[in-house]
Amino acid sequence: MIEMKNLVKKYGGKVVFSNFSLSIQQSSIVGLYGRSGSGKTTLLNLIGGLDLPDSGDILVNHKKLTKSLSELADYRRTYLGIIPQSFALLNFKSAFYNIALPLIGKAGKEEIEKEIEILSEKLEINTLLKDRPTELSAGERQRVAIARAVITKPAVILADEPTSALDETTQSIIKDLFLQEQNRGCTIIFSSHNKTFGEFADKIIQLP
Amino acid sequence: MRECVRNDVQRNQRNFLILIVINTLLFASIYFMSVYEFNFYGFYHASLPNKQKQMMLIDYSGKFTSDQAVPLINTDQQMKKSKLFSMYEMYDQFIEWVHYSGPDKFGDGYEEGHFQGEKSVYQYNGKTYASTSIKSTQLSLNCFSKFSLQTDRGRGFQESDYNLHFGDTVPVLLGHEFTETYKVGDQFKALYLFSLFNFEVVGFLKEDSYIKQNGYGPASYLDRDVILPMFNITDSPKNQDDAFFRTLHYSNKTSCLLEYDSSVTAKEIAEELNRISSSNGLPEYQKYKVTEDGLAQISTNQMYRALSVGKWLVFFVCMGTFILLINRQIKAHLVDYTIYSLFMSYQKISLSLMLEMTACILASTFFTILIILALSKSLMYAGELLLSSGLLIVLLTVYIYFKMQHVDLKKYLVEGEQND
Repeated sequence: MIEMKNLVKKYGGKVVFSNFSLSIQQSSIVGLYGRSGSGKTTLLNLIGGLDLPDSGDILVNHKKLTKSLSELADYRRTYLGIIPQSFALLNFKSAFYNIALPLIGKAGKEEIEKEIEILSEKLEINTLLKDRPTELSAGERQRVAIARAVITKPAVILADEPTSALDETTQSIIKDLFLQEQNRGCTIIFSSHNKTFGEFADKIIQLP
Repeated sequence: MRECVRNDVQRNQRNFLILIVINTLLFASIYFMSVYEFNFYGFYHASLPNKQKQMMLIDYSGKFTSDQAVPLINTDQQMKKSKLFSMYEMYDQFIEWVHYSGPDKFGDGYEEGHFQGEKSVYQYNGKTYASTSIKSTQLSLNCFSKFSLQTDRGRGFQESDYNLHFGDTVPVLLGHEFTETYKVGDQFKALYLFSLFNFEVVGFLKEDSYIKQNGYGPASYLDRDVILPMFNITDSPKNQDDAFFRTLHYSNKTSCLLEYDSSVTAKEIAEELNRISSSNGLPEYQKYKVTEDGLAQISTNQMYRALSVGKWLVFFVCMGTFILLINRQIKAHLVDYTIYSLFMSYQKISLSLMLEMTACILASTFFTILIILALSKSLMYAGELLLSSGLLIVLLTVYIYFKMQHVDLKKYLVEGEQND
């Protein structure tokens, strides 16, 4: 369960959130909608510990999110699967390595290979694993980023515009994947401009 | 998986090698630009249509081992026979005066504030002497006319003072200030280049006598110096210690000032020197072009200015390219660092980046040294090059550490900067 209480966040003189409160139940899918600059990415960054609120609290499973950078890093690696807007892939590494990244040092080679095989087939990128991100299309890179976020079976997935570069067929693949993750017990919070993609969400939050 | 990893490794190795090659070229350019600055002036200045004498300072850059004695003696003789230039042998090697009882002001390092006083010094044969380092300058006979050096007591040096056998008493002249303490005919023992000699005072230089070791520039006053003839040892070396002494002495002798006519180019002098040194199996001498009239006289020349500006332009372009390349590499790594820090351990990437930069700089330095060896056959300033590389590594480590502490994680996730 994720709770935000009386959040205040400003950038310079611009107030993004003023006494903002929100509660997200475990195993739910939440869609964040709003105009550009409405604070969708900021909210995801605050939940992901990539940014800190000026005041107010964020609680994950009733535990207040710390301000310590190293504890935040641990929190991200333990609880979260992040799908950034930029995809944030290592361009000098193969797609395979990028997907495997969160498991390196945590799981054995065979386990990694097995997990990637399953995920890449689901996301239809199994023939692209040897390629570098620069050799892939935007949609293919987005799917690599999604696979990387999902591979650790995180408790929470934060997805910033996860379908921005995907066609309708691939969007439905992602929907199915998110629903599978939800059944596993995962909470998914995504931002999007695409209203039709949000139809499967349990809760839609419209940011002003 | 193995194939993917192999592909990644190959790509990384290729990028790394490219960086090393570029860095090596930049380091070598900067090195040669700096070291051969004087020659650069020289080659230009030699082409000036003036009739004045040209000067070149040369330095022995080979090994200091006993087997170099004979090649050095032969080199010295061949240089003297050359019709292209005249040698002025000037060297300020101090002597270790045994049981010295004179004033401290004549001590080596006294004026600089690091005079050590009496201490124990070993001779080659293992015998220890209580001695004091005293300032001394060794001069060839032609230096006396070149710098108008005259004595006001006793006699000056003669041709015969320059041809000695081991065991001969070495005649010396003393600077003017020694007249307060010593007189003509006084004798003393001293170690010169770790060999014990008996010295006899044959005269005193006039007050304010001086030489100019580069042929121009600031004067070196000799009022507190013991002046030794830059003598020849005409008999054959008797043992290894004797040969080692000659190596040291003749390396000093041949590290001298050359004077040549303006009708000869610096390049021709350099080729003649290279021919002599290589025929004796010695590495090339380091050569520095100097002018008797200084550089000021030609600094008004437009062409000289253009060349001077051009040299610094090349230097700064090299340095700028190096800094840009390294910064690009660090910036690219910072994006990678952000990704690693989100999905993996970030200490790993920061350490690997520092190690990569260190390895790159060390490899570039190593290859630069190889290039220097191949091109100039000597390693002058190799120590400085290593020191500079070390400093560069420290600076880069601090820079990388600072950048990584202040990296904005969310910036790269939204903006999606290229990391390739």
